[in-house]
Amino acid sequence: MTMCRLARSMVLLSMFVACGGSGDTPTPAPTPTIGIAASVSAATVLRPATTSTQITIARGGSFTGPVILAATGTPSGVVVSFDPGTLASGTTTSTVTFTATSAALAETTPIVITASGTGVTTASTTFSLSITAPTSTISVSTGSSITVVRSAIASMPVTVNRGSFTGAVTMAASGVPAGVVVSFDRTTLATGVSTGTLTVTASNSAVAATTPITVTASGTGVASATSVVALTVTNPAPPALTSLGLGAVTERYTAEVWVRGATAYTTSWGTRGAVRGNAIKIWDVSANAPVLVDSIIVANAGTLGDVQVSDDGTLLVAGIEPTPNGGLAIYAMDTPRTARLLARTTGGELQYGVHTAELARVNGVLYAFCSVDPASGVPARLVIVSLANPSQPTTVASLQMGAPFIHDVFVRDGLLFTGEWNDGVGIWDIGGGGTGGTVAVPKRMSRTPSVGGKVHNMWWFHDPTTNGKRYLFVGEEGPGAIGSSSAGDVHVFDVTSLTAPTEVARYTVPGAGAHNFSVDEANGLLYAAFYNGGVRALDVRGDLGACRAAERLSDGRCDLTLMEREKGIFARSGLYVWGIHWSTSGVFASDMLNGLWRITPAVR
Amino acid sequence: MGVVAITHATPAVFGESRTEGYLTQPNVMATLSRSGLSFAGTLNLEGYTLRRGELNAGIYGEGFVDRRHPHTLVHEAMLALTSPSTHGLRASLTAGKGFTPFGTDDPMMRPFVKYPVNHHHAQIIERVLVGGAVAWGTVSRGVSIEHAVFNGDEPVGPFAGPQWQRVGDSRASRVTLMPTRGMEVQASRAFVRSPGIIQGGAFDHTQSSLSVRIDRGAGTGGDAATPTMPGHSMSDHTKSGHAMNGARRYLLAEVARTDEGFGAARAFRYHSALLEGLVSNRGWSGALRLERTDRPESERLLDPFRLPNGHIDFQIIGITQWRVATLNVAAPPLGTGRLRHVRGLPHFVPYVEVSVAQPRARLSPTVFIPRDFYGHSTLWSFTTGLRLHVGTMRTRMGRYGVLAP
Repeated sequence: MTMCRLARSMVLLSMFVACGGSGDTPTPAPTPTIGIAASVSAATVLRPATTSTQITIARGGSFTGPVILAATGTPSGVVVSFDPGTLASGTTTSTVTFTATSAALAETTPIVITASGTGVTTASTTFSLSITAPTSTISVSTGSSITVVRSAIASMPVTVNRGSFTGAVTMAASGVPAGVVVSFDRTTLATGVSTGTLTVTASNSAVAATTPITVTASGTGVASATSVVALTVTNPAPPALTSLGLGAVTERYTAEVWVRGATAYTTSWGTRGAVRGNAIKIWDVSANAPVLVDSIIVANAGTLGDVQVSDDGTLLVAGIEPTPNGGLAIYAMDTPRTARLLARTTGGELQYGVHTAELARVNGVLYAFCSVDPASGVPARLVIVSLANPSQPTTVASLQMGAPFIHDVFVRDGLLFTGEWNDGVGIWDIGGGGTGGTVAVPKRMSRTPSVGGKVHNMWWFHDPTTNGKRYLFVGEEGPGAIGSSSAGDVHVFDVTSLTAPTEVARYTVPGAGAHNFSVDEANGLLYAAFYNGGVRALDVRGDLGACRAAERLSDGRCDLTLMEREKGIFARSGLYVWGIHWSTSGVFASDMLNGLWRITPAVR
Repeated sequence: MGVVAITHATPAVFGESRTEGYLTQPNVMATLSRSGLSFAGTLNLEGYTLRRGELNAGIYGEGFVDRRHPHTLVHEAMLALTSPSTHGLRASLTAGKGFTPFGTDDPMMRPFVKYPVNHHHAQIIERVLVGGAVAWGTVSRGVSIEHAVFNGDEPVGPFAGPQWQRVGDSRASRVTLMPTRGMEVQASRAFVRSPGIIQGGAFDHTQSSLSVRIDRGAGTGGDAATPTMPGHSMSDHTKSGHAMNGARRYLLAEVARTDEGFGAARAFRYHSALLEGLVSNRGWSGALRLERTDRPESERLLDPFRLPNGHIDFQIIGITQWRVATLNVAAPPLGTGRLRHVRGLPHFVPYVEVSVAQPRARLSPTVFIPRDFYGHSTLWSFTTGLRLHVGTMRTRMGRYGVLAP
C-alpha cells in the first residue's frame, strides 16, 4: 500500500515538472562569496610609526551587500584602522593603517583582516606586521612661541638632542599658515651638528593670528621628534605720534581740553596735594609748546569737567562736579583770552554735579546739554539749559536718564545722542529726526545697548568724502584707578537706521580704556584719549562693518586693530590722557598727570 | 551708653591739626523677651551729637572719609521668634532692621573708642533684613548657621530710611563654631548690591570674613563665662572691654576682604587684617589693636572729609593701605562710692586712647598720594574722655534669636 502511494506521488511530481517547465533543466542560484586581498602583505615599521596598505574585496555569486572590515590578532600597542571600515555596495577598496605606538613590542605579528557580510561566508587575509625598536632617540627643542610682524621675519634657535644617534637629521615644519614661510638655516643637520636656526617669514598677505606649527626632526633608523611652536603673526605697529611740546601742569590734575584758534582751555580735577581742581587754564597754542597765559578760579568748585567755547566764540562754559554745589560756570569771552563771569549756577538740578556740558546750537539758540550726576536718592538726568541769555541760563528740559549715569551727549543735525551707561546709546529727535521732537520735548527714536555697557561718550561721524553719516563712535568707560589703570573699548555703531542702530565693530587697547574723542573728519581720523594708553588715532573711513574672518570677533563684530585701522599712537610712561581735541590748529591732549600736550597729527 | 571723647588729630588733613569734642555712641538699648518672641532695639543718637562725623583717620563709608559717619537713629529694631531647644538644636526667624549675619562684632561693643578702618569690610549694618538661624550645641561648644537677605543700600544719613523696594537684593551667611568655652571661630560671606548708590547701579560688593575670637575672664565677680550657644556673651563686660571687676582676657583676629565689581566680575579688591587684644584686672584695662586695611579713594567734595556716595563713574582715584596701631588704657569706673561696681547704676570709665597710622598708596602711579594729602606720612590721634553706662546693656550687638547674648 505504501509503495503504491510513493509510486503515485513520483508520477505526479514527474507530471508537474513536465507541465510547469519549459522543458529545460533548472539553473541553481549562484553561491554568494567574498574575496579579500591586500596590496602588500607585510611591512616593517620603526616605532612609533604607521604603515598602510590597500585592501581590495571582490563580491561573488549573488552577493552585492556591504562588507565590514575588521582586524584580529592585533598586538598590544598597535592600533588598526580602516578607511572606510564598511564598504558599501559597489565599493571594493579600503585603506588599512597600522599604527605602532611607542608601547608596541618589537616583534612580528600576523594580523588577520576579515571581510564579512550578511549571508555570506567571511573571508580573510593575513598581514605580517614587524615592529622594530629604535636603536636611539632624538628630541628637538624650540621656544614655545614666536611672533613675527607681517612683512617681516623672525628667528629662533632650534636644538636637536641626538642621544646616541650620530646620523644626519632632517628638519621640517608643518601646519604653517598661508602667507608664512618657515625655513631652517640647515635643513639637514650633519653628523656632529645639533643646532640650527628657524626663520619665519611673514608676507604682506599673512593674516594676523596665532597658529600652532610643528617642527619635526627625523633621521634614518631613529624615531622622529617634534616640538610645537605657537606662531603669532601681528600687524605692523602704527606709527608713533610724537610730542611737539608740553604745557606742564603739576599743581593740579588736568581734565578736559578745548581749542579754538590759537587758544586752548583746560579744566582741572580733584585734589592734588591740598590744591583743588577749580582752575580753568588758558593757553597760547600758537607755538608748538602750549604757554599758559591765564587761569580762572571757579568759586566753590573742587572738580571741573567739560569746558567748551561756543561756536561764535563769545561764551565759555565749564561743568562743575558736586562740591556739593555743582553746576555751570558761564563766562563771556571779551577776547579769546579774557573771560568775564556771567553766571555760576548753584541750585536746581545742576547742583548734584554736572559731569559733562555739551554746547550746541539748535535752530539758532545755544544750549548746554548737561549730564547731571546721580545723588543719594536722586537719579541721574539730562538737563538742557538755554543760553539765549547766558547771564540767566534757563532749564528747558529735564529728563531722568541713565543706569546709573548719563555721561555725555553729542548733538548734530537736530539729533541728540545720549550716553546712558548700561542703558546704552540713546538717539533723540530734537528737531532733525522728523518725529516732531524739539529741544524742549525731545522724542526718543531708539535706545541701543552696547557690548559691555558703560557708555560714556559719542561722536556721529560725517564723512565729507562720501557724505556718509553711517557710523557713531561710542566710548566705553570701564572700571579704573585714575592715574594708573583704565578699561573700556571704542564701539562702532551703524546708525543707518536711527531707530535700530547695530554695533558692528570695536577697537580695544589692552590694559587701557577709552575716554573722550575728537575727529578730523576731513581726513577720516578719529583721535581717542585712552587714559594710561595715551592717544590712539584710527582710520574711520570706509566700511567698518566689513572685514575678513580673521578680523572678526566671535560675536560677529569687526576688530579695528586687526583691520589695521590704527594710524598713530601717542604713548609713554606716566601718561593719563583725559581729553583730546583736534582742530585746524593741531592735536592737543590733556593729560591729568602732566598738563597739555601738543602732538603730531596722524597721517592716513 | 555714650562716650565723651576729645580728639586731637595731627595732622588731620592738609598738614593741619584738629581738635574736636563729641558725645559719641549715645545709645539707648532695649531688650524684651517673652515665650520665644524677643525684641532687640537700639536707638543711636549720633545724628544729633555727631552730625558731621567723628575724626577717625582712615575710616570711610556712607559719604564720609577720615570721619566716622553717624549711625542711623534706629540702629537696631529686630524681632526674633525662637524655637524651644530639642536635643540641643534650636532655630529662629528674625526680621527687622539691624546687623546682617556677616563679619565680626560691631566696634562699638569692642574695647576701643575709635573705629578700625575695616568697619565697612568687616560689618554690614543698619539694613532691613529677614533671616534665620540654626544653632546646635552645649554650654561650651556648638555651631550655628545664619542666613539673611536684606537691602544693599547703605544709609545716606542718620535719619534716612532704607530703600524698601531693595530688600532682598543682597544676602549674607555666617557659620560660627565654638570649639571650646570662650573661643569662637566665624566665617561669613556676603553679596551686597550697589551699596554706594541707593537707587542702584553702583559697584556691587562681594565680601568675606574670617575671625577667631577668644574671650575669657571675669564678669561681675569671678568667672562668669556661661555661654550657651555660639555668639553668647562670656560675661557682662562694659563697653570699655574690661569687666566691672575681675580679670579678663580678650583677643580677636580677623581677616576680611571686599571685592568691588559688577555682579561676579571684580574690578577692585581690598584686604583687611586686624588683631586686637585686651587684658584687664581690678578695673584697669589695656587694649592694643593692630590693623592693616585697604580702602578705596574717591574724589572729595569741598569738605575734604566728604565724598559723593558711590564712586564717580566706575573709577577710583587710588587705594590706600592703612597701617594703624591703637592703644587704649581705661581706669576703674568712677561712681558713687561702693556702688560704683553695682550693675545698673551709672558708671563713668575714664580712658585714654592713642593711635598712630601710616597710610600709603597701594597703586602706582596714583592721583591720591596720602603723604601729599595729609601733609605727613605718619598721623597721630590722641583721644581721652569718659564712657558712660547706665542700666544693663547687651554685651554684643547684631546677634538675634538663638544667637542673642
